[in-house]
Amino acid sequence: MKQIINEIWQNRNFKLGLILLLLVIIFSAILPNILPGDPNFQNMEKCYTKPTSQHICGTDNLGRDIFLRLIHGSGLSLKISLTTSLFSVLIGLTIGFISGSSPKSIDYILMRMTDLFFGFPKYFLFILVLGFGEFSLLKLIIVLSIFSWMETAKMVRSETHYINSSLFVKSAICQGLSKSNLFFIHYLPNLAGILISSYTLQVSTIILVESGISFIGLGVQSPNISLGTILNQARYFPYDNYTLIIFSGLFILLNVSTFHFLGDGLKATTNKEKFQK
Amino acid sequence: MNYKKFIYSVLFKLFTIFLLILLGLILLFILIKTIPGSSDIKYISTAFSLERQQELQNIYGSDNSPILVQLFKWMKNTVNFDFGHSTQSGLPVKQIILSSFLPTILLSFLAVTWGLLIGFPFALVSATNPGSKRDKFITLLMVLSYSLPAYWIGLFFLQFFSYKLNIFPSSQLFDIPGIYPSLFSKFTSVLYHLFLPSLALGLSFAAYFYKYLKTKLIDILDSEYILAAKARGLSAKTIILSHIIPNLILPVLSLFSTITPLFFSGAVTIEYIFSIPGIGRTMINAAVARDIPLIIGGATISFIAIMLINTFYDILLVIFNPKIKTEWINETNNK
Repeated sequence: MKQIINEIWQNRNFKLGLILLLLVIIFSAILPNILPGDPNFQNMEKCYTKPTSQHICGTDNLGRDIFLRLIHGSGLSLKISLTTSLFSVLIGLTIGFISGSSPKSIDYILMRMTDLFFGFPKYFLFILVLGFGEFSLLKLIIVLSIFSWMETAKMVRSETHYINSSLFVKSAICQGLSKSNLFFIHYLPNLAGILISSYTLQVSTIILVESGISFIGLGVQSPNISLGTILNQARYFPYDNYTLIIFSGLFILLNVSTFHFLGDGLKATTNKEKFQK
Repeated sequence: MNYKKFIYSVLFKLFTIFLLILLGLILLFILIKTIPGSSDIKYISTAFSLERQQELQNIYGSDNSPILVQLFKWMKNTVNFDFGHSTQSGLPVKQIILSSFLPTILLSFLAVTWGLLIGFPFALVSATNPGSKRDKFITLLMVLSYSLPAYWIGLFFLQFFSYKLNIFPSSQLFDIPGIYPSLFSKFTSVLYHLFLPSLALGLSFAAYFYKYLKTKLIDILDSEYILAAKARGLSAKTIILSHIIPNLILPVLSLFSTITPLFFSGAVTIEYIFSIPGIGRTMINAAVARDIPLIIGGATISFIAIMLINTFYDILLVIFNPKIKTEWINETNNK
């Protein structure tokens, strides 16, 4: 265990991710609670201002402070993606594990189901579900997680196959360990690496997908702010004012690349560490 | 090769695809039933004659028959490609969707081309010198292109290249008068208008392609036939053209099968920014106008198209790779 932590700690991507994570936490968890001011406060006299001492990142088309909006928005985007990824990894774990430890016919059916979900035109279904009825964050999270569990399921399945053939599982079965104990004692700890790395990678993709949906206007609705809804206002900006585009791009870049680096680092080490014990 | 068994396994595959499409249609039906409200109120006024009201109810109205009957009816209509009429324009849904497929497919095709043009050389450089400064720089560049969504790149291009420098058009597929002397000039105009959107989309594909191709290339470069080719003193160009690229065809084909859904719905945000009259923009407009038949039709038709294209890829893969053929036969025999 200590060896694994050492190994992870030595991964450069992971270290970079940790440093960036510190920035993310400061920007989207601490600052929104400390800084006073309403991100939705409009001041029509000060539209499209460029960065000044009062507005660090300038103001948007309705005179709202872009920096305040960005920190609140990235906070909500992160909340959504963190919960969504949790759900999607849980679904992926359930389906992947059942598929990996079941007889071939059930495995085949579940894998074809996974293919089916891969084949759905995701964005159209988001439009279909989110475009109608009242918007709620829960709905968004459920819809996003229903259409993002497939990769985790495939990885968990192949890993479960790998564990199935290992000696410690066979000996545990011979000793008469019950199925739930087998899962919690032998499978879960060995699947943990994959689950954690796919969780972090999933977070970065969900941020992108969620901001895309919000950008079209179907995701997060005002007064709630997400990175996508902020960026939507960039379409109204005059041609020589890049403030909103640049700063919101930097925020998306920071959020996505942080979790990407973390996930990449974890994935590299967990794959290397696989079954050395 | 045992042809009888092979044909049997292909039939089995087609049968499962058929079942999957059926299952997907049922899932779609359940989704559709969760949509609250209906659009008939907007169009049916009590000022109309009773006959006219009934007629409109039949065209636009919601169905009140039992759920299984509705499901059966929906299946039947789907098989006939009849999704009713759009509530915005009154045109048949089939016609609207099919006419908006073309721009999207052209856009996605160009974007995939950009993605391969950018991703493949980078992957080749990275895979041949892993750990070098160039590799690190390219990896950083690709993380950048992965982390910035396509619509951000699109917005930036729009603001810089079309508003500021004014060298590329900002929206639509044709110039405003829309009169072209020949088909060729019409086509070049479309390509000109699609340049920025496809590049923006292609840059976000590039990171994905790069990552995938890099791992595959490292596998190939590690193999013994490359070592043998090097030992024989072949030039780098010959090795790339006659050893690496043929071995990449299979991975690239399976890569394509994973991105087919993107061919239809991946360009939604880009179409939204650049006002390209593709399927994504049609769907967004339909959602805004609560045009339920159009959305249902769009989702269903693209779902069926994706499944069929993926089946086609699967069969193509088997033609290129006999190994999968035996896999299929074994799979079928196990059932």
